[in-house]
Amino acid sequence: MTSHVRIGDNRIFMLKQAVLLYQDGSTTLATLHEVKSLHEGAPYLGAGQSVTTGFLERLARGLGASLAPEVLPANILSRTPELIVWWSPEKPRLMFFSDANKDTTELNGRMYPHPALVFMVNDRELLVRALGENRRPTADTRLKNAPYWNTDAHGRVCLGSMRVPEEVSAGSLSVWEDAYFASEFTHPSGAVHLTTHPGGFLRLWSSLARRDRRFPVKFLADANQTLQEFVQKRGES
Amino acid sequence: MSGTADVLSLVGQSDRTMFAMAPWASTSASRRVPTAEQLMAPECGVVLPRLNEVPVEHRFLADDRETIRLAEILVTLGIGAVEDWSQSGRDPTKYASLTLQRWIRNHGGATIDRRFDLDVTLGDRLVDYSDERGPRETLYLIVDPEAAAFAVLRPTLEFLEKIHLRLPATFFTHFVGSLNRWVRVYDFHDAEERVEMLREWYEGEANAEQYEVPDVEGCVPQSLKERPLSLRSLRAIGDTIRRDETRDLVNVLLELCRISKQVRRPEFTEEMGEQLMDSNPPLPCLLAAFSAGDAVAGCFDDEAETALETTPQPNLIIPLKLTEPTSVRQGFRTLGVVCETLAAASRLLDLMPGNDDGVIGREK
Repeated sequence: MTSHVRIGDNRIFMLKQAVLLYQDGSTTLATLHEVKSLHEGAPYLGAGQSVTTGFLERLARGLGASLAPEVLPANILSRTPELIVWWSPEKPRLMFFSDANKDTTELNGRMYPHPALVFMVNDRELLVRALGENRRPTADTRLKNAPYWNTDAHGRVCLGSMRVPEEVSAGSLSVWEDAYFASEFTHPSGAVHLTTHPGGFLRLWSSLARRDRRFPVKFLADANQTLQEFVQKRGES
Repeated sequence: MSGTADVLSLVGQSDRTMFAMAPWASTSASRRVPTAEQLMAPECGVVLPRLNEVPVEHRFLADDRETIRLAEILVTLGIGAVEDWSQSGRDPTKYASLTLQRWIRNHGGATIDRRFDLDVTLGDRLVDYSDERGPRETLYLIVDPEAAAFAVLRPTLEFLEKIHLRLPATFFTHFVGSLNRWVRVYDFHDAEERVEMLREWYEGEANAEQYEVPDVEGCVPQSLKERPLSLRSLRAIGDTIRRDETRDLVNVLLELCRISKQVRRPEFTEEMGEQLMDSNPPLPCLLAAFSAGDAVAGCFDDEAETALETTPQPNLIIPLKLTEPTSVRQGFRTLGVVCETLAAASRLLDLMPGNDDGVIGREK
């Protein structure tokens, strides 16, 4: 009987196999060897077997480079094992601000109109951009900066107290959106042009509080980036 | 004179013959001293590469609180051994692992390994690598097969039928029943269910008669239709048997039945059911066929192809509540009984004719 202990994230990894690579110029041959142990002394390699496509597929699965088959909804823009990008049409949403000062206290816990947004979850990091038009963007669509605190010039969200969802799948997108808007906006995140509103960020949102109107997209600042660039750069400079 | 001796020369002034070696690959021409290369036999070409400086183990430690609590309980209850603490390198996870290995070894581990290929996992969740763990302060001992063991029944049943008409059914019922109490055994009943399901599928087809299903009914010995004897009657018959092999067979069967019933199987709780929602049935730990390649084995192979499409339920789940040390004691006691049951089954298989092929060859 082989015994294993798996409590929490603690793991004991035992040396089981080794891959040896042989090269001739640009051509590489790989062999897979069992690691065998004597009662005493160093372990040794058993006879090698050619590495098969099946082995590489198992290895890739182990590295997470695979996706469970799922039907993608129409709002998904891009999907790889590491990232998922989707857009969300304009709609009213509840916003929370920290009560650190008088201005934000008055804004806290109110409904506001929001522009259409593009979200990206990349390796459990959340990024947000805004859209100038309320329709599904194409690769060439120019993006706007999301008009929110805690979101930097690259669109990266400082997660802070946000309850980060466990799952990243087509079925969990609304959970990510809800988690984002359920956490408090506390401060500007670095040097970022959040809005072109003449009164700045706080005046923009105070002018929108409880107003039954659409978000004025003319006050969105240009992100100097297309959707294609956003997806490729994944929040990098 | 051999080739090697031919290149040797004497050095030193004493009476003793001594041979000096030149540095590697550099011959001293003036003294005709041979190089090491000349002295060494040519390599044979077959080398086992050794991994002298390669660590054979990496440990990843995160939150140790539950493991430390478990280790404390194991020591307090006398389940864990003091010497394992130093061997573990003072690592609670490794200590728990060594304790588990020791416990299995002391309850027939080597005997079990002759016939069964099983895993025992001590973990905090029922589905490996699931994001959802069980309740806090609750751990589980989980028993599951790596591969199913194989038992051929027909020679034993035919042999027993000559002694008593009802012995084959008695043997089958108690052998399979004792094991089924703890782990899943795939027998002709499972195969019959499979065949029934296949027939239902094919009934709706246009040419249903063209489909052939395994003839499970045809491969079941008539002797199994007899009513099994009670254990008391079996014991009485065992006392009258003179032939050593048969008496041993009956005695080990009785031992298997006795050990198997020493503790009650832990309850399958609602919380376990929630963790295992949408799971497949447990993987069989033993395939009990009548002969190699019969209809029962055929159905087993057929089912095996899809058995892992979704996560299977564990064969056995033993919960350990860290807030109740007695539950840890009871859990390890239960695991001990399971191990001893499997060891008795392994011994019984050794005695059953026609089962030499079921021994698992393992590298030491």
